[in-house]
Amino acid sequence: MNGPAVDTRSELALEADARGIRDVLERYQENGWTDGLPVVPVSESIVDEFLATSPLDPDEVLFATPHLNRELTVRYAAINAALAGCRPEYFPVVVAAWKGIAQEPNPRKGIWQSTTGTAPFTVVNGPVRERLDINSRGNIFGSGHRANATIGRAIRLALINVFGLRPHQLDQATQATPAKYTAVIGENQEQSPWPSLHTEYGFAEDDDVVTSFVVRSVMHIEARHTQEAEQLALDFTDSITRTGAFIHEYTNALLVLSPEHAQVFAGAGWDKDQLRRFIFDHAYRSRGDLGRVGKDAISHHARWRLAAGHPDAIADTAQGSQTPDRVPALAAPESVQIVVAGANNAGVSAVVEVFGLNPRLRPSSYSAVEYRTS
Amino acid sequence: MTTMEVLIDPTGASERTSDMTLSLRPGTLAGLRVGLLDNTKPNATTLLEALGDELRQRHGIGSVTMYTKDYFGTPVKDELRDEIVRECDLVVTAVGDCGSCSAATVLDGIIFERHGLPAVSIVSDSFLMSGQAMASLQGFPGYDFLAATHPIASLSAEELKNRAAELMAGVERILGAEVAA
Amino acid sequence: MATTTEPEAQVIDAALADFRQMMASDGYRVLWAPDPAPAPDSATEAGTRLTVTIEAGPEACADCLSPTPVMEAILQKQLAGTPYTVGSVTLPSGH
Repeated sequence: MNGPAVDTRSELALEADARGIRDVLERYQENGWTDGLPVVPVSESIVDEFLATSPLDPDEVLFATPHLNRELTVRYAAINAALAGCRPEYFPVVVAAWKGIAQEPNPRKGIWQSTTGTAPFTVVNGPVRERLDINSRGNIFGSGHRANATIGRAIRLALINVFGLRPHQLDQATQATPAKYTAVIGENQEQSPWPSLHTEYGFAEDDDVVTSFVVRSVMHIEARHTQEAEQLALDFTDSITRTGAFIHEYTNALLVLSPEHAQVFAGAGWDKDQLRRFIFDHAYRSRGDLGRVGKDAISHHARWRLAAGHPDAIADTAQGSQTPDRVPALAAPESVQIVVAGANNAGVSAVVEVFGLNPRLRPSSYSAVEYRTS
Repeated sequence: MTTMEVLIDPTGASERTSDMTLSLRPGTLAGLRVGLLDNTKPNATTLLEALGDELRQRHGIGSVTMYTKDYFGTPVKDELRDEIVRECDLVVTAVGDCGSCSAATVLDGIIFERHGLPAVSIVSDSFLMSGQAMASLQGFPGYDFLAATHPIASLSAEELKNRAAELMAGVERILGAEVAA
Repeated sequence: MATTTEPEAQVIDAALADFRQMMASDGYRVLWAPDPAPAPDSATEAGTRLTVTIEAGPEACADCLSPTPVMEAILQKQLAGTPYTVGSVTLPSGH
């Protein structure tokens, strides 16, 4: 045999038709069946492996947008999960995320065509995090974990492919957010001093549950300076009440606390409700603050914030209250949701800005993860 | 080991298009059984009869049968649809010259296409928009139907004959009929 | 009451002209006004939702009124090139 002088094969000793594979991936790109990154080719036998993990009928509709005359069946959720690079065993989590999204008020009405440019954001609780290696510790918003990366991408690819939400076409986002590629985190239940997010809905710690948010941004909070619960809570509150967050009368937030920050509150004897209540009580801006940025009134058309001098302006709710100069940023303590995630190595947390125009009991929806038992 | 498999379209368009596929076209209309579906609007009967005459003269169709809807504002009932599908090879339905009946007439055409029967829906051009909107709502945007010059209801028998003659090119286009030399 | 400036009104009237003509064929008038307040959790942007009211004229054909989804679909299409969307369509009483 006249082999090459130098053996260039990798340690894996894998051989493949790399050019052939590239050609296939280029076809997916040409068809627009992608978020821009390479996708994983999907055949019927592969889809079957995904469908076999779910108890649902492949024709069951998970999410529909009547105004676009489009709906997503379990089968197409599976095709796009495979396309995104999920392993078949991730699929029940993808399905649960879709069930959460379907309960949210804004996606079905077209918020993902809107200029605001929001993204789905998924929190996973329960032992499924360990089984699938869903990252809940270091680098939660970063890259590097297949389950986090591909479960979120499964949602995006279906939005692009099945609902036609392509940028410059049906997706008219002005700028959007990097979370549109993928945004899935696990809660770091093991290093949280508090009961986990899903226990607030009545589930047990070892139930597998997905919580779905529609988010505008993930805001980094640097607070390595204090062990005082009040100081730390006020630092978060200041970010929640930034004037840029005021689109309507109120905003919502998902506080993603590092274990270290959560411990500061727990050490002071605060539970999650106490932290929520503290933030709610302090989350307001003065009328003057809002006046300076031209957001001290609301529009009588859409109740969006605008300047008091605008011809469409009417008074906001606070104006008619006992304290008209104190304008609250939150409608209720529950407008702040709290999870613990990230490495236990620094005083770094995040405020995830949750989209929502009107007050709700909780600015998110949830679904238990369902498995096929046979 | 290499196994070659067909890759799947992840958009679902390949499945949706089955809903936007017209029934098979016969090529020639000679000898075919034509159903005329009268929605009871004024002049619908006369216009359809004139179209039947045109089809007989130009294409040598086999038979013409008139069917009548019981209400113009809603789509054809399942029993009547099944009867027409059983007894005919193609169908012409008219006339959608109002908001409700134009939408229903276009929907009738789509229903017949989805049941395997080539169909020509005729509306008046004042209600083109209504017919197009109904086609989109039915998941068949771009469904081809005919818009005759409004109004229809006030025309004389002679004028209706002329309208029918004008419509024939469209009828032939939609049916994919070979035009006799 | 919600207000709309004159150029905005012209944009809307121009977009709805064909629809008005179609509705007039059955004896109906088409009126519009900006939505006074958005629906709960509306994803629509400020002041761009319209309430469209269909009024029966003296010669209106009661059985001829287009189905509401058809009217909404037409209105959405006609308004597609404008910043406006249809909030709701109000039909004459009895429909």
